[in-house]
Amino acid sequence: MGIKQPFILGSVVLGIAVVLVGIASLTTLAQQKTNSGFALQVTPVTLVGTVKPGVKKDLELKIQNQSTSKQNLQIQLREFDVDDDTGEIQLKDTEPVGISDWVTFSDPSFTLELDKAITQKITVDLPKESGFSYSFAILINRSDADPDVEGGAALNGSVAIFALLSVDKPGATREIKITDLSIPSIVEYLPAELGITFKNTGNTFVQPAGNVFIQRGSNDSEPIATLPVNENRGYLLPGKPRTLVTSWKDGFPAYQTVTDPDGQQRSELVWDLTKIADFRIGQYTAKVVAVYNDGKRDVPVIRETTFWVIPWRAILSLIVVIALVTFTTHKLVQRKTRKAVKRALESQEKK
Amino acid sequence: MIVAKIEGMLKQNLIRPTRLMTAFAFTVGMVVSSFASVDNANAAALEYIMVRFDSITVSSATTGTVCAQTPSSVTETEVRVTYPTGYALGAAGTFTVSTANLAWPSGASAWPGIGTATNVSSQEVTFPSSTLSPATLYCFNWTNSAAVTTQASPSSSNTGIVATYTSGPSLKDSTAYVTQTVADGTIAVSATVPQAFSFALSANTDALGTLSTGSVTTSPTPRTVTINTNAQFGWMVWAREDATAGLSSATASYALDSPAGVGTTLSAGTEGYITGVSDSQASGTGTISVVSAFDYDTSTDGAGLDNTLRTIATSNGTAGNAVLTLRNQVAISGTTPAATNYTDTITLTGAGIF
Repeated sequence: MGIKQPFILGSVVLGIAVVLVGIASLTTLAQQKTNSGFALQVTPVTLVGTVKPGVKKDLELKIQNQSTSKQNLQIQLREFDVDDDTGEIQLKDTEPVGISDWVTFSDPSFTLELDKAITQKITVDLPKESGFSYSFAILINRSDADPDVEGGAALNGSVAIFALLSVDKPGATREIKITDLSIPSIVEYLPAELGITFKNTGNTFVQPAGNVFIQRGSNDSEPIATLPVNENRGYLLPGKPRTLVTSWKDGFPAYQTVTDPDGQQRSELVWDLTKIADFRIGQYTAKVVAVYNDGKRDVPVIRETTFWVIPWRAILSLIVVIALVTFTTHKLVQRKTRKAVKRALESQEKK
Repeated sequence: MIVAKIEGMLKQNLIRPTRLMTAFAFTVGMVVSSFASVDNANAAALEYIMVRFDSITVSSATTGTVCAQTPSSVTETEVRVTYPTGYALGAAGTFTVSTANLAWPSGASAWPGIGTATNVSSQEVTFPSSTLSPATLYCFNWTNSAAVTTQASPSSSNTGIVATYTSGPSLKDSTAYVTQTVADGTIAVSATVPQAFSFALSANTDALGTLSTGSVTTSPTPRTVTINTNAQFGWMVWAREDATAGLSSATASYALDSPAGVGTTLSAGTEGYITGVSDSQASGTGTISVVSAFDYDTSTDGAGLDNTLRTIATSNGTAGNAVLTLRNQVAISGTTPAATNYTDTITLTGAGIF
């Protein structure tokens, strides 16, 4: 009897627990069904291609459903622009004028089961009187009606893929200019961030490359540091500006970005003694040698600016310390001198 | 007379033949060098000069173009191009040339008498030339990339010289040029890892529940957008509302709304409806920037949306579980019409940047 009672009690508790877990699971499943969110992965991130007028070209876009349920999706074209002042991409909710008739999808509406993928074939068929380049966005979103939410908001997710099409025809010109080179005139500690603003003055896409040379003088042949320009091969759209940033990081001490356990990023001054040879102070020249290929050869574009690295807080602290030490020493010497004079005078008076 | 004196001194062993030879060599050297220096002193600068390398990427075999304009009329017989120190040069025979105009400067003419190089000495390459007319820009191309390979180190100041010579050879005109080498040039890089972008919205609804005049209601379970991408330039997320402004009721014909894109903090009892965004990231090179008006973690809590796609957050690099937490907030007043169907539709769009 003494054994049976706890056994029965345990069975009841276990049973209740199983039922509760079952209810919880059903609730979760029901929530997933009605509220399963939206999760897609697309490859590639940007569709880049060269097309010939009058010749069909197929591009491929892989779309994978990573959400917890089946998704009914649609694919559409959208316009985008780049702000002339900020260089920021502005996605629009309108279809691009002119291009819609020449770009078609293999499956404009499609259903993706959980974890399944589809490869969309995007066919571009430009007429002979086309321009030199086209840029637009491809938008993928749910084709289902928005869920009803009384007393709240329905949320729709969508993914955009940018498409950059160069047209292979005579008359395409590649040309860029550096319109601005910005760096703080005084940097306390590295990194020093250099913003290089390019403007594409040609009529097709350009991927500039090159280096920023950090050196003491403009004509130094051996730079202190060589930094990459557009290391990741970003594109410049015709007629549009783009600011690419590169950082001179090799300093002692230098700020580094650290990520806290909660995912928040912050900047921290790191005193790595192994890099003491990288102590920076004084005036430096940042000379940009950007290069693009005009179809036949490398064309360099050069611009430079100067800036100072002054660890001013450390210098001020040092000055304050030196001043304090000097002042204290002076006072001590003065006090000792006064005492010595006083003693000398007293001994003279005694005599 | 002098020779006789020297012979006499030799006979008397007053001077030794070796010393005499040294003195003679020294004298000849002085005379020659004085001539050379006189010639150098007469050398003028070329009026225009251009040495253009078709590739300025480090350690790349390259063809190129040489242009020059002489200031005065002389009978040139050769042009010598000194390539920067560190540039590897092939044998003279590799310096084949062409006068086909390959994007020369405007108005340039073919270099007369130019031919395959006749000599390579250290960094100096000698090409034959005919007479150049003053005030005319002449160009030629060296067309074999085996002739020149750029130096291995990047630099913004690699210097060389172009000089013209008359018969003798005698230096006539000479001018230095500067070129560059870059480590990250325009050689195509073939990607082996495809770029991918994933965008996950945690749920399709954000129910705010029953609203009260006594407090500002915030999303009870804030929805999240999670981004994972290896897109090197980062990503952007835009948001917009449907055509009906704000949190609206069809039956009450009324909408709760706040100015779009204007940072706002709601107060209990004063109508408003905003969306705020917080950010975090587990890994990746990107730094997330939430547009200040929508940043929940600043002095204001968010901003209203409208029917235009507005940027709410960007990142400048790759993302490993970059999370945007979305908080919709709403406040009503005592005069807000009662209804059970206040609703809104918010569209969130994400993309990797090119």
